[in-house]
Amino acid sequence: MALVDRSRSPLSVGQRYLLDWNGAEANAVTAPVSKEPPAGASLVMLLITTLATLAAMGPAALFAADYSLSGFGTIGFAKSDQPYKYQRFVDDGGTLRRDSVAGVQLDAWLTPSIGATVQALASPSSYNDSEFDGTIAWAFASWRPTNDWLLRVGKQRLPLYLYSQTYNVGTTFEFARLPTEMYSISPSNDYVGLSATKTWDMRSGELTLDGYWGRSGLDVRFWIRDGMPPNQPPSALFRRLGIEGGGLVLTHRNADTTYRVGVGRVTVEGKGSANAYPVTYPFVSIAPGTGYYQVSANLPGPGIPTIDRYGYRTLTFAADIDLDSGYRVVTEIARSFVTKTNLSNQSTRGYAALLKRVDEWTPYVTYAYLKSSSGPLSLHSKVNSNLVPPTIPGAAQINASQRIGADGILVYDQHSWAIGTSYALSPTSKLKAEWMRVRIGQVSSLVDAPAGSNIRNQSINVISLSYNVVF
Amino acid sequence: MMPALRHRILSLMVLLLFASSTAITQVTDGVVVIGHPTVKRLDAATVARIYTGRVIEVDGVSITAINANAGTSIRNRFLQLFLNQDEDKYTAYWTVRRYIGKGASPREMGKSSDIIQFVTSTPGAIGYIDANELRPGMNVLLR
Repeated sequence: MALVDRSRSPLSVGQRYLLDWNGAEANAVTAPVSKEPPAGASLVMLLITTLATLAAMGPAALFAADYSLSGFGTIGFAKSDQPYKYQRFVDDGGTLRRDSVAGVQLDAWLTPSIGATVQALASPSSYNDSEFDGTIAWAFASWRPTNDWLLRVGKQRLPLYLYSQTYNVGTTFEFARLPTEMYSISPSNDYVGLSATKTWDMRSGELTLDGYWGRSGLDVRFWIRDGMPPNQPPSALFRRLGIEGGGLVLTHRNADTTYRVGVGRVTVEGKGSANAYPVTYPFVSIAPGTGYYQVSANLPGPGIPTIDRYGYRTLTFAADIDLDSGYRVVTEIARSFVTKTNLSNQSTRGYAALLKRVDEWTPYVTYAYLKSSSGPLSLHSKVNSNLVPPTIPGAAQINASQRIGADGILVYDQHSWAIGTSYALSPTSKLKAEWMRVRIGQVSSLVDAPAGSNIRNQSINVISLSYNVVF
Repeated sequence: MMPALRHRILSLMVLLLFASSTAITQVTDGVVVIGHPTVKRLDAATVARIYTGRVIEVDGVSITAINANAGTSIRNRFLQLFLNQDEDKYTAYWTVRRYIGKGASPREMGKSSDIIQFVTSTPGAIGYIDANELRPGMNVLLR
């Protein structure tokens, strides 16, 4: 799944846009924008529902509520040493789009135990590379029947990773950017649904169990490096997916350390016209030792096996450990499992960071890792490298289809080292700087490869600077 | 009882008494937690849990905590004594808590007279003031 960042990331799926790349659907690619804005009418309804929940308790209660308005923002600049884009926006021209974000949050409490939260967010669009987008990131009502229970309904964010809930609030972590290898590949961080949190006070600290279930939409981004000859230049293609599922997260926390394990399972299905997923691309032999993968229904072949939906399971482990003397280790590992299709983003990913606080400075070094499972990587490699001889009729079109088909398999093989620091200007603002060196192995769908090329066994150096504030 | 043993026990008692009064002085350091009459006495751990949002009701009473303004001496002493935190750490704690959707830090008031007024008139309210500002009739929860 290719990334659409800001905590929405794309899943790898085949779909009719790609299967019918030279058919009628190709017209949709010329305007590669999801037909369903993610923050559309449903979110407006959600917001209205949340406010109505408050209002239903009576106008007097609404006016008697305590309100708290807060906000956050990051202005981030990132520049790489490569002419092609990494993480949608970062190239040697520099960009403010990768890391800049702003949000406001309204918290209201009718009583100490009943409240509602709405958070509005402005960030680069998850379904268009050239626009900013306004979304409602949170919109939920909460109830704490006792000190140890918290129930929430509405739009909220998964606690699956250590920082997934505060992903957009740069002052809540020291890294200039949360490790992309870890944070950009989850099926979805936002969902509309229910959550329940139970807390136990223990002698060793606090133990928290979060359970959640809900639905969400997810924008998937494919980079079609060669475009759709002859009319379509290289461009990004977006698709909207539906996610439904839940999970459990167990966290143990005390003043010095946090440990977290999580398990989640969601069902992924297409929305709109593209609702079938290829299981694989069958190989069609046209002569001894040569042939092609049927990546499109328009190509002759046995037909592409498809499924309507697939399950996506994730296991996570995280630790944030205070080592004394200002040193801290933060690490997270995740493994995802998909059994029904080779066109998924099942992967192993993680990072480890060592931080040292020195007065207002917190320098750090981070190693992050992301690798797709062997099935998707192998299929991508075979399809991407497949060529039929020019003597075969329609060879150019077949060969082009192979590369487009490969672009529809979103796979990753990369790791990175980063050295950076944050500097706390105040308790509510931080400056951050980072140098990161990314090593691309076999392939990475986080890279927008130039037309006709393969980006493999290359390094990308990225410099990032940002100012982060909450108010 | 032998005189030597009696003397030893007496010494031990004096030592314990001294240690106890020292501990009390260290715990409160002139900071007194007060509350509405609906709130019963609290221990330091519960006060810490209230001011970190982990406790919102005590013995069936919904608690509304009040903080002194950031940067004030009384608040700094309170944070250090009861939460073992400084202002930066406390602010960072609540920033995270707010943005994981678990509430906001307690309401702040600038003057101790405002805190006293609010606490004495609001069921379930608690706050903290300097011991010098204690007046007769106030419900002292912890000192």
